[in-house]
Amino acid sequence: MGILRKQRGVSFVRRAPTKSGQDVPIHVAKMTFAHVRWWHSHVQPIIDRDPSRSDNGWNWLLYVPFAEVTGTVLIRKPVGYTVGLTDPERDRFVPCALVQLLGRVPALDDHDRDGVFVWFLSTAPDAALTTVEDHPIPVDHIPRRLGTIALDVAVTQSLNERRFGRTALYADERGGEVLLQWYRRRGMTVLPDEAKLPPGPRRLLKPSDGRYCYYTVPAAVEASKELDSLR
Amino acid sequence: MPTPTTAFANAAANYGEVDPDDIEAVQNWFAEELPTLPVDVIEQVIRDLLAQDGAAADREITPIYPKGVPLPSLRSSPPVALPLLAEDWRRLLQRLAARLGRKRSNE
Repeated sequence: MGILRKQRGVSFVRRAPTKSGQDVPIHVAKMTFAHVRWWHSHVQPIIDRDPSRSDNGWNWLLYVPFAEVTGTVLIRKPVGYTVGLTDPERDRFVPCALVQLLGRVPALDDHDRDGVFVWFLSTAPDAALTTVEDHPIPVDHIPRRLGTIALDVAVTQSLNERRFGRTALYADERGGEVLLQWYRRRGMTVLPDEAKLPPGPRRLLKPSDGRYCYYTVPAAVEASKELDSLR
Repeated sequence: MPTPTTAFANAAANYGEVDPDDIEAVQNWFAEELPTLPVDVIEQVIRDLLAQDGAAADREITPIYPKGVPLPSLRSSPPVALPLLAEDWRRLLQRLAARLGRKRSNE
């Protein structure tokens, strides 16, 4: 199964569990300016009311163009994805998570191989989804496991772009030990703070401090398999 | 914590003569102007901003949230298709070779 996954790739998640027990249809789309603008108008204000969130104060309208230009200039293959609830009857797509990736970055556990780097990842709080104008999502239909699904987007991208699941990220300091534990529970390994980053601007500008996390190839495959029932 | 918004605003002011307190002008500069600048300038902006990754904001900038933005349509947000991978290419090439082989044997 692991070999097949690495050779044939894997589809993105298509369903998400809910409190009601029924899955809701979601899909992963390429991130567009319309998604980011809607997010900044409706979701970010609610995130910004909660100082405990790591993504408090974020501005995707800055990050997306910056990631695009950085990725292009440094040849890092930037790509952004939006996870959203789908409503074909009303032709609506409700963004529930945004993921900005760099698709070609030296892997943390093997500097000679490329992996995917998760630059920004954010999920919508329940309060944002239950208050969508003209389209409120009932509480028991709010997609669950959005963080895991958003992380899976990065792993899926890595598998499908022949990075074999190698995926890394930097766990925001504001998330503290809780956030690191969350990534560990998803199967990621934390890079020791004395470890050297691969050559590149980050080695100098943001060296390892015990908050870089990564998936090895087997751990990524295992994490990917865990969401197969939702694909 | 990513690079603070104030660092983005300062970069837009330094490299684009944008009012750093006008966050919408800063956003526009990153979306519209920065990609058109020479590569060495872009690299300098990138270095400036990455160097401040995790830094604290040097002042407060009040975010401006756009109003009345409609939900994206499903039509304009199609699901990402699975790319052609090694195995798919192998099968395609096998099919092509088989077709060519049949054509030759018919001739």
